[in-house]
Amino acid sequence: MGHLGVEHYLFLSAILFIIGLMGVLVRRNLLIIFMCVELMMTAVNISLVAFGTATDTLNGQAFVVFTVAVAAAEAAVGLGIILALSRRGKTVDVDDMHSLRD
Amino acid sequence: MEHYLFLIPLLPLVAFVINLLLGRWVVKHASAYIAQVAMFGSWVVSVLVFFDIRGSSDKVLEQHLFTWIPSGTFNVPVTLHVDQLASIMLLVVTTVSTLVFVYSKGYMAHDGGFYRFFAYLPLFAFSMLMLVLANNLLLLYVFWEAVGLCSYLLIGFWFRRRSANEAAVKAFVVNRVGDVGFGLGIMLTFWTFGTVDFYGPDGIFAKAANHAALGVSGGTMTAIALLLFLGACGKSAQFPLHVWLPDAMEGPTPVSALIHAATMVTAGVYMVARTHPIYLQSESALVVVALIGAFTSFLAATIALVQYDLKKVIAYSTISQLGYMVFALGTGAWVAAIFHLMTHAFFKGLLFLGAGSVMHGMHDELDMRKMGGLRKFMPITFWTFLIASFANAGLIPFAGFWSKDEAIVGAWASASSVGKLAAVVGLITAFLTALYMFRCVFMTFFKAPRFNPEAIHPHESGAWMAVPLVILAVPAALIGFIGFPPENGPFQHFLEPVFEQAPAQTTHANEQASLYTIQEPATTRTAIAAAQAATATETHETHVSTATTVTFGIISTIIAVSGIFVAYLTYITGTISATAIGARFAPLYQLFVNKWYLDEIYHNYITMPFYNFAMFLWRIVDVKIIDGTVNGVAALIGAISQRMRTVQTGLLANYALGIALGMVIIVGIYLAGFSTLFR
Repeated sequence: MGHLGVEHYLFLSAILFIIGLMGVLVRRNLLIIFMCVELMMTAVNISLVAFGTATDTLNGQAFVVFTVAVAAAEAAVGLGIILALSRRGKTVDVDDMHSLRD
Repeated sequence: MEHYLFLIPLLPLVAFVINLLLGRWVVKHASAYIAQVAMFGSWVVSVLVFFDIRGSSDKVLEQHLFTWIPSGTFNVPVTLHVDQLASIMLLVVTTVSTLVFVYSKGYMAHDGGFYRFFAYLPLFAFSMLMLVLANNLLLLYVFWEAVGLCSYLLIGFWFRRRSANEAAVKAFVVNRVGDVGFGLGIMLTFWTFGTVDFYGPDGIFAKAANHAALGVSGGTMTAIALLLFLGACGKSAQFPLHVWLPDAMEGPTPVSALIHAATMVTAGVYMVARTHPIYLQSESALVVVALIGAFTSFLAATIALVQYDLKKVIAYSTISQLGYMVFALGTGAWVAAIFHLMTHAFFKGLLFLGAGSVMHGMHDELDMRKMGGLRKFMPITFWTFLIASFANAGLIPFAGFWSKDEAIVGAWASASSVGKLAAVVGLITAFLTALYMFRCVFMTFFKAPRFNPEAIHPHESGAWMAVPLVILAVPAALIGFIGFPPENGPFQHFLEPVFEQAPAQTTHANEQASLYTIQEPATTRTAIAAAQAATATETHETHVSTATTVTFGIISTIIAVSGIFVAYLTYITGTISATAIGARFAPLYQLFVNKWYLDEIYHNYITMPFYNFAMFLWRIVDVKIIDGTVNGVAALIGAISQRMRTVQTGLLANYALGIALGMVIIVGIYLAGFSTLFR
C-alpha cells in the first residue's frame, strides 16, 4: 500500500453516497431514510475535505463546517417532523403517508 | 316659422316618453288625451307651416337642430326641411294621426294594453314626421327603420296571440329584405357622390342632375335608383315584397288604418318622389318602377276579389292602390302619385276605421259571410264606409276618382315606354277595384243578416269612434276638388316647384361643366353632350289636352259604374252567380284564392332553403365542427392527463428514484459529452 491519494477518499465518499441513496430508495421507515440522507451528506463532506486537502486550500474544510451546522439544524427539524407524524398516524412507514395524494 | 318646425316631431315624442314611463301607474287612461293633445298640437303647427309655405311659390323652410355625425368630410346633420311635398305629407300624417288617435280612444277602451298602445302610436307619429322632415338620406333611413319598428310593435300588439307574433316577425323580416337594398343604395350614393344630403349645390340631387359631367355612369345611377326602389318595395308593399301587408292586419284596426293604409306604407312612395332627381337620370329604373307598380296593382286587386275577411280585402286594396302610386311615379307623373297618396290616405284610413267599427259592433267578427244587413244597425258606419268605397272605386266626384284618373292619364301621356301599358292595366284594375269594393259593401251592409241575431246584437259605435269617421268622410268625399281642374288645379300648382327643379339644376350642371372646359376640352365636350342628352330624355310632367283628360274621365267612370253594377247583380239580385263563375274558371279562381301561391313559393323556395341551410349550419357546422373541435381539444388533453396522473404515485421511494435517475442521466451526459475525465 503506498500513498493515500485523493482518489481513495473519493471512492470512500462515492461508496457511502451509494449506500445512503440505496437506503433512501429501498427502505420504508422514515427514520431510516432520514439517517440515510445524513449518510449521503457525510459522504459529500468527505469529498469536500478531500478536495480541500488535495488543492491545499481551506475552502473545503470551511464548507464542511457550514454543512455540519446546517445538518444539525436540519436534523432537529427533520426529527421533529418525524416525531409529529408518528404521533399523528401511529406509523413512520412512508407508504402509508399519502394524504396529500388523494 | 322655421324656428317652430321642431315642435312638429317633438310633441308626439314627448307624449311617447310620458306615456311609456308614466302610463302604467300614473296617467293610465289619460294617456289617450296626452297623445291626442300632442298630435293635435303637431297638426296645428303643420297647418301653420303649410300656409307659410303657400305664401310664395318657392319657399322652403329649414331648421338645423344639431350635427349628428361630424366626421371629416362626412357630415350628417339633423336638419328639418320642409318644401311643398313635405308640407303635404305633414298635413296628411298629422290629420289622419289625430283622427285615428281619437278613434283609438273608443276602440281600445277595454284593452289591457291601453297605455302601451298610446305610447307606441305617438312614437310612430314622431318617426313618420321625422322621416318626412329629413333633409338627408341617412336620417331618412334611420326613421324609415323606426317606423318599421313601430309597425312591428303594433302588429304584434296582442303578443299573446301566436298569429300576431308571426305576422309581426314576417312584416319585420320582409321589410329587412327591402331595407338591405335601401342601405346599399345609400352606401352607393355616398360612395358615388360623397354626400348623403339631398339639397344644395353639393347635395345628391344637384350632383345626380349633372352626373355625366362628374364622370358617374348612367349604370351607377340606375343601380342607385333600383336599390332605393327595393327599399320602397318593402315599405310600400310592392310585388315581390308585398306579402307582409295582408298579414299585418293582425294588429289592432286603428293601426291598420294609420300605419298600414294611410301613412307608413306610403313612405316608399314619398321616398321615391323625394329622390325623383335620381330616378329622372335613369330611364330603365323608371320602367322597372312603372312595371312593378302596374303589376302589383293588378295582382292585389285580383286577390282582393276573392277574400272573405273584411280587413284582408281592404289590405289588398291598399296594396293595389299603392301600385297605382308607384306606376304613376314610374311614368313620371309625380304630382299624380302624391295626389293619389293624399286622397288614398283619407279614404283608405276611413275604410279601415269603418271596418274597425263593424268589428266592434259585431264582436270581432271579420268574415263577410257572417255579416249582412248591417246598414240598419250602424247607419253612421254604413254611410261613411259607403263614401270611402265610392272614393276607392273611383266614382266621380269622390276623391279617389280625381287622383286615380290623374295617375292613369299621367301614365298614358308620359314619354315612358311602358306608360300606355300601365294606363291600360290601371283601367282594368279600376274595374276590379269597384267590383271588390262593392262586393264588400253589399255583403256587409245589405240584404238579410247572415249571423244569428239572437246571439249577436250589432250596435253603432260610440262617439269617440263615430266622430272621426264623419270627419274623415269629408276629405274622402271632397278633397279631390283641390286637384280640379285635372292637371291644372291648386294642388298641382302648389307641388310644381318641387318637381320642376330638374331643368334648373341641369343648367347649373352645364355651368359647372363649362368650368372644366379650359382644362380638358375634349372629354368635357362629350360630357356636356351626354348631360344634354340626359336632359332631353327626361320625362317631364307633360300637360295633356283637355280632350284626353275628359275621355279618360268618362272611360273610368263607365268602368267604375260597371264594376259596381256587376257587384250589384252578383250580391244583391243574384243574377250572376259568383260560385258558378268560380267553378267555370276554377284554375284562375284557385290562383286568386291562394294569393297567386306567392306565400307558398316563398316558403318552399326561399324560406325552406334558408331554414335548411341554417339547420345545416347549426347541426353540422356549429355542433359537429366548431363545438366538436373545442370539445375534442379538451377531451384529448383530458385523456393525456388521465394517463399522466398515474405517474404521481405518492410513494416517496418512486420520487427519490426519479431524482436519482435524473441525476445519473445529467451526470452521465456531462461525463460523456463535456468532461475529459474518461478520454
